[in-house]
Amino acid sequence: MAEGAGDFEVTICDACGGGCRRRKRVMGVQHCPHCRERLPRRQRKSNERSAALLLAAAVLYVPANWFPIFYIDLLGQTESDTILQGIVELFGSGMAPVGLVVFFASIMVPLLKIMGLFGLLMALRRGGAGRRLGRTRLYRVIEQVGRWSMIDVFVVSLLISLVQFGALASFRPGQGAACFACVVILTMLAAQSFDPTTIWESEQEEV
Amino acid sequence: MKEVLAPRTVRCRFCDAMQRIQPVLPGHHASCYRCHSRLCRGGYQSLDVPFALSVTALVCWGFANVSPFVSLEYGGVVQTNFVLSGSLALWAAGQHFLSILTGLTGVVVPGAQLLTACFVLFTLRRDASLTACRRAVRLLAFLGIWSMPGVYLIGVSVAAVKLADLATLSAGPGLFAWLLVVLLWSAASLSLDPESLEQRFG
Repeated sequence: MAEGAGDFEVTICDACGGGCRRRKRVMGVQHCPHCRERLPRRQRKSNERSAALLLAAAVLYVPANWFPIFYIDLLGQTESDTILQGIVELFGSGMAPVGLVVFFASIMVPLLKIMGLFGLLMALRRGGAGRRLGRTRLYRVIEQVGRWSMIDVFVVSLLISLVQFGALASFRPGQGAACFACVVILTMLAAQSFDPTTIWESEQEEV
Repeated sequence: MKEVLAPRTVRCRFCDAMQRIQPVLPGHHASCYRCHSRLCRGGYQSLDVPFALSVTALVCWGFANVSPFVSLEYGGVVQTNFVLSGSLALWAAGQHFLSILTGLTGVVVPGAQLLTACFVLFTLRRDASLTACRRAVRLLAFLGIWSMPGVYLIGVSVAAVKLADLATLSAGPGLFAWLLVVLLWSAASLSLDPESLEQRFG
């Protein structure tokens, strides 16, 4: 099959800033003709990989909220705290602003990421071309806020290292903490794997 | 170092649109004509400013690692923590995955990011044609995704609130150094996204 001008697109090498042609539908690694550095890769499977990571995150979201993220041994009694219980306690002790921050970081952000990215992937699958600006903006938000879900993981690490007073008071990590950390990491990887340029792809082909 | 004067061609990271943009002045930014995402920030006029900020942040990072971070008093016993203590305690509790995750994202990656930023700015101020420098710029963008010193700091304040009715948490010099790291880095990073560094290359 002969290659015509339509099989190539023009791009810029990240390493040397030079303009170069890239084969459009070839998925292997392509190199810059000027500096031999790898060109930014466009992976056809990137959105499929994103969907798979997202599915894994959605599955783990259930145990992450069901199991306690830590146990407290206080004067011989053992209590446990899930993410939601921790937030309710913060509200109950009159620390509503802090509770609100943790609620956003630990409940809203993972939900927004899972549902938002699923929405983006479904819209691409249907081939809809509407609201491209809004979808790009949604992706930018998802990419930016992901890290803030890690707050609760750091809180657990701090509580466990600080409160080590034997039988008087001590914290132990729960199963939920590792699940929750996995949700955060998987959604971050899914957001990284998602290729936002595919939102604009069909327009490029029409022109 | 090349003066930033000529218009140049860039590719939008979000929609792949190629476009010519004028040099971006400090305090301004360039947006993509098609998807309105930010293409490039003006940053500081001179690279000396982010360089000074990054070096100071790196020194603060080193100091924060070796000085007491926070301490907790409970029933006459004082427990003093260092920055990495949380991740070490998780390792001791058998949560190896969580330990490595918090250690990397909270402490190690921010340090590596500061070191890379210092290297990039140091070489850019001398000779912008180094391939190593271009690679370091890409490494910096990658580290930026996984670097969470600010999230760690918020985590400390949430932990302090949670412990408020049990015991009082007092800040050590390490915590103030950490706060400085976060503030200095957010000021330095105005000039440190790869798209903005791109316009400094010759």
